[in-house]
Amino acid sequence: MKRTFFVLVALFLVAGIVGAGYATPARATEKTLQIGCLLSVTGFFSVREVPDLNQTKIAADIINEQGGITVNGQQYRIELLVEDCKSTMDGVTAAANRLVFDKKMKFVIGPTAFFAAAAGPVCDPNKVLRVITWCVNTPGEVDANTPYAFLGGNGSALTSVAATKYLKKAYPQVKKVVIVTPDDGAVPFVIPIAKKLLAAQGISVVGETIAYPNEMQDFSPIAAKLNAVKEADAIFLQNGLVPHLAGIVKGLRALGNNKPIAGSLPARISQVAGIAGVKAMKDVFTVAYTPDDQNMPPVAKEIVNRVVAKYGKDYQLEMSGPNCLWILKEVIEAAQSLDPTVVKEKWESMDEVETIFGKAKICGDKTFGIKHHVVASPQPIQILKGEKEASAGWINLGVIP
Amino acid sequence: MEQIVATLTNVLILSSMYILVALGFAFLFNILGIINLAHGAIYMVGGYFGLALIRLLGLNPWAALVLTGLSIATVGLFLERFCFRPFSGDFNRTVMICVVITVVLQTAVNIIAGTQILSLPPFVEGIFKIGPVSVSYERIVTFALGITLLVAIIWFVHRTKWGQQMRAISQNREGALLQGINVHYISALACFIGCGLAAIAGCLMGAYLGLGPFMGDFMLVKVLMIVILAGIGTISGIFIAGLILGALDSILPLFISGAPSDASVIAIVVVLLLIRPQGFFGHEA
Amino acid sequence: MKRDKKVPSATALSSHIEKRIWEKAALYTGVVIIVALLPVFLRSIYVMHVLILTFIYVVAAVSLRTITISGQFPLAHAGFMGIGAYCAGMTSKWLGWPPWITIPTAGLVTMGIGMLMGYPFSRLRALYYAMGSLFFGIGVMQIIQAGGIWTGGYSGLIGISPLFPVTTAKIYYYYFFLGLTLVSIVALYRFEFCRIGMNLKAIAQSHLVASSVGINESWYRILVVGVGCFFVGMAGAGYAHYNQVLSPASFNFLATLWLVMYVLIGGIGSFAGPIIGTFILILIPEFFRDLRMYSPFISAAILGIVVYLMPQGLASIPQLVRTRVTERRNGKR
Repeated sequence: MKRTFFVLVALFLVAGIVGAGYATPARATEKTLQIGCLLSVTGFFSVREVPDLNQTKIAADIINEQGGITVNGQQYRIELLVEDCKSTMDGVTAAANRLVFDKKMKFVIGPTAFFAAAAGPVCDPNKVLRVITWCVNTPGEVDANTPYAFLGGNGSALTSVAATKYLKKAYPQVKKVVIVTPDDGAVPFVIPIAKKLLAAQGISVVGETIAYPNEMQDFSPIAAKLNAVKEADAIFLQNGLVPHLAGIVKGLRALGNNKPIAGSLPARISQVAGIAGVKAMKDVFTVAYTPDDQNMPPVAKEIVNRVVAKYGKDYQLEMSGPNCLWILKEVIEAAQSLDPTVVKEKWESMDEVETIFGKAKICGDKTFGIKHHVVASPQPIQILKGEKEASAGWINLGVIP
Repeated sequence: MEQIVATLTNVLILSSMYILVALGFAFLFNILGIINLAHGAIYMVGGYFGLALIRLLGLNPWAALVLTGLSIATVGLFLERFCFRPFSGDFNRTVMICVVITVVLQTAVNIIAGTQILSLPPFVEGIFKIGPVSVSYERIVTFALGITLLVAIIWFVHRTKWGQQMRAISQNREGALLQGINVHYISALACFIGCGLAAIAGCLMGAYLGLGPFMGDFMLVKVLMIVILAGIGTISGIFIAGLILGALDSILPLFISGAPSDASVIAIVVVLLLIRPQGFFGHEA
Repeated sequence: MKRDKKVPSATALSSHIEKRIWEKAALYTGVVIIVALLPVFLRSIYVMHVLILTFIYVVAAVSLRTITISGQFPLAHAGFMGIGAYCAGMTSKWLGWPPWITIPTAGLVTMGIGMLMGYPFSRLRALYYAMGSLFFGIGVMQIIQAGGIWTGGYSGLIGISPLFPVTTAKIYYYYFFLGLTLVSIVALYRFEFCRIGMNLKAIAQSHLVASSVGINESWYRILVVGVGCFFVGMAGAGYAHYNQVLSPASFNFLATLWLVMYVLIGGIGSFAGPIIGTFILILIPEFFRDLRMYSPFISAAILGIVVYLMPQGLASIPQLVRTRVTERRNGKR
């Protein structure tokens, strides 16, 4: 009895496994170009990735409406193939394995931030071109060891440029800042860049960098620490998430500290205000996208309009996935080839590319350690005006060293 | 001076929240004999439920708070009957069912509301200033609410008949049965109170810190630490352990920068456990 | 017609038992051969990847169960896997040691740390041991997260050298991990059913009686934790060299809980339990991968079914079926 049972179970499992193996890998038809997406649909990171994915899908729709990607006279419809990264590093590896080996993807969008390092060992040796959606400069994301990884979205270095430039512009009296950042392993890489950029604007850093554990819930001690740095004219938050910024803003204002808070992160002011309270948001800005921004460049505006129509005004606007997809389309068409190696070489030879935010420079050689792999798209600043979030203008990043 | 007051308020608020949730957990632990690993998920659902009441039914935060507490407490009754009672005494299966509950709740909330960053509106706005010291009204109110509930619970446990019965069961289950105490009834009541407390704490913290589908995970670990440090069968021990943990969480980050502060809290807890594994205030199980 | 139930003679009984043992051995050999030949029939490299991960987790689950036969229930097992993984990862990345050195070293280091934890915790009883080990596991991962640039912190450790040269096909990894898993399983099986294992079971049942026959309870408890940690440490090290990236989030409390689920679902009473449990809980949700956001419900459903219907775990299904059939047969008379 027991033997029969075990044999049945074994056969069932084997049949299932072999069946899964025989499941037809999606074969690209002649007129469809499949592009893989390594994003986390489940787990804690999904709060960022799912909106980004939906925005990327809208970008794909727009590209297809305009005739898709044309290579050597043949038009290709874009089809996105998403694999869930489950907000863990092994999730990324598993998803990357599936996309590269099973589904035979040649181009991939994502992963985000330090998750990108997990996809490198799978994608780079197999010459799969990745366009990363966010870069925090940890080793293995976009650097000298990742010949096939490009940054098309955003990154801590990029938001730092925007935040420092705006800080200088809007608050010229600020000469000293104290830096606060989540201690997530990227600190030794991200903060020196931020300090250099601040120095380039004539702003010096006082005190040591205040780091907090990534999973911190109650930011009152951090606010207390920041408040104690009396010589600082402003607070500079590099990286982090909405709850972090909200906790810091709330904590500082509750202590009677009303100094400007520069948020070098893509947190939406309305969400921060939801936690911290509207009154606390004076003199707080972030690098985020506002839905009814009049000055938003046309392609981005189209995407945002469709997002608002489909998901409502309060939907998270990440916009890095769609930008990656758009830039990829531009470079593929410039290279007139679907071979990732040819596309890679074309990308590295270009100085400028059209993004959803307008023209942007391809640069970042010294900061990232690899030539021409980073697209520095223009960034918007967001503040609270009255009770609603509003755009405070766009910052052109120029050429990042 | 200013920093000391600020730190003190942080400690008090955080501790009161931890103690609220830990008390609920301790009820289940002492009286049902269950380690409710799903307590964090219940706390989280309480927060989201409160937000749903405010947003969808337009209730004001206070009404939503009370209603959430009562509703989730009622859900607790169902949990006790169908999920905890069948497995009482069987540690393995209790752990399994708690994982099931947690996964189901977290996935459901993540699907419904996971893509947005939400928070409950603050219960009170404004900042209260005396001289150089300022504290927000919200903190004062949160703390006051927490303390009121805690005092009510203590009064309940020590002064009412049901509370006495609960203490009897937690000391000796068979003895209580022999005395004619209806263990099932009291267990259901304990689960009612436990889940209700967690839900209220979820709302309060949801307004204070914001909501997230996985916010229960961190709270569960804190609660476990408090309950284990305190020991089985003690209520006052939970207060003290909760204060200690709240103090550690508020004070250590001031001196230790970054990720090591989290690690030090746990290291201290582990060391304390090694010194006295059965908890500091409980009686030996 | 009534059929007299024959009372079997002694020789008939022993040959019957022998036959059962041969049947069992044949069955397990058959399963192993099927699994070993799978890559030949598989067209999907991705499925091989999933199976490799399953093998690693099987070792972790079986070693967890081995510790539980002594009556202790550690809730830190994923933490130990993490210790092994980071040990191998860091020695590989910063000291440049090759995998065939880092993996056994990681096993030994994990064993050492496990025994160190076992020492003070061994005098705790079930519940407190579980909780204490839970915090230990979390604490270890927090420490790793605070490790700055050496461990990569929250963002993880990358750049670990792979087991085989970069261009190696996955199939080599498959056979390597299959081999490692089989060796571990056999070793743990022999451990459980030798004298030491018997003593441990005695301790679990009644430590008073056990110590009265001269079994040094503490020492055995520490030993079993060490043995269990050795194998899970090696599993973690293998994982590190396979993935080439590590992150502390893979070894947190949730990961430990899932390892515990693998063991419980299969049945903590049987040696094959964790093996079955791991396969079921990893492979079945993979079939439902396309459900994405809804896929955790599948795992929850499996757990729910097992917890309500099969208290002894999936490995007890044949027993349940047999009982049901026997009851029916007896009832018919």
